[in-house]
Amino acid sequence: MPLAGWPVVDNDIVNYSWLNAIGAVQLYDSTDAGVTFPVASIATPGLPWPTNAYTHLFGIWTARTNSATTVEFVLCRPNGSSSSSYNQALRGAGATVTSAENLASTSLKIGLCAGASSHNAGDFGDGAFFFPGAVLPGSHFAELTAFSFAASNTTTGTGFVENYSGKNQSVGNITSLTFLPNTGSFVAGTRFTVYGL
Amino acid sequence: MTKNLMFAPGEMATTEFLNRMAPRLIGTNSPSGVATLSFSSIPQTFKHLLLVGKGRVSSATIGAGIGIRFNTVSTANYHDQLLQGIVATPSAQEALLATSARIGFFPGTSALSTADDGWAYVLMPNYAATTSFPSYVALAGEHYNTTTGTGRAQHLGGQLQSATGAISTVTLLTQDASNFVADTRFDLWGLT
Repeated sequence: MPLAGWPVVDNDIVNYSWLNAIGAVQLYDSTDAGVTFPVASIATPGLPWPTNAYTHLFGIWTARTNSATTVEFVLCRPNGSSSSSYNQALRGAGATVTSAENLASTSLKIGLCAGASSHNAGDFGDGAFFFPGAVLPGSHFAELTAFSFAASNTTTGTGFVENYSGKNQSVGNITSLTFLPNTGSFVAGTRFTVYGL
Repeated sequence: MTKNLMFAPGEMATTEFLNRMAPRLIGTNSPSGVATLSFSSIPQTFKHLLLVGKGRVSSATIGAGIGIRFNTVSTANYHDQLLQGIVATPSAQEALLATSARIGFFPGTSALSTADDGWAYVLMPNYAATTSFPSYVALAGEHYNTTTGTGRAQHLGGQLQSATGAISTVTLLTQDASNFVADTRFDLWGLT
């Protein structure tokens, strides 16, 4: 019998309407894709299309780089675009709150991760990002909200929580995402997963 | 399954598609009258974990820190960083070498209304990794709604830094040793 409601119980048949109502589907995972390290960037293949398959993109990541820094910016280029990215950032580090903007950049900032000079080899950075309306009819920019945590030098104290909003003015609908560190390469243990909502 | 992820009448879902459905509920915990709760024996087959919690505590406070511990480690090896706004004041704090890391704040009996709650969304990316410290990033808030109407908006992150390893147990606790009260709830989800 066709599924009447939620949740699914024994002997229900899950029909196409129910399947089309599923909220989130994993579109890409760098570990499943077999990315090897060190790697200068991680790019998704073309994300599923056409328009009405999903509307928003959501991603989760953890990363570390081999750059000679305690922390390193994690960047994102929608559709591989290397221009026209704009960010507003809010940061908490220790007892200090700061904010900053980046104009006309080559990439969107989505967070901070640990670099090779972090205090411990087990330090990484964790974060998530959302591209609401990543696929929409009509004219719009690719727009982002993101947040992250990175620890770098914890015995004397330095942790970073970062919040970003951003946009890329040369990208409308998003068909791929490229992730890269500001300097250096990502190392083993790094992982990016992208979901369609 | 068609490549555009939309199903037509009569079309079948493949195993690959069903295994990409996210998230999936691992467990629910509704603590009442206790100071701690745990999600244990967490399957190691997901890619990431999402914890969602909402509730109150029993102490006379406008906000008790809610702590997280990984793998039952309760020694002073946790670090967290907090960024928050309260009314018109932004601030940041860090806690080093603590016995738990903060994921948010829940109000107690000093909140103006018994309906005021705190809440937290906690992500644990790549939780099954064995070469990184167990860690998380969280968004949280609470409203304790004193006579002037007050709440917090928070962004937190933290880690256990004594040993790398996969997360198999997550423990939540009140950092002031009070109890969670009725209608408090935590759900743990696995993301495929």
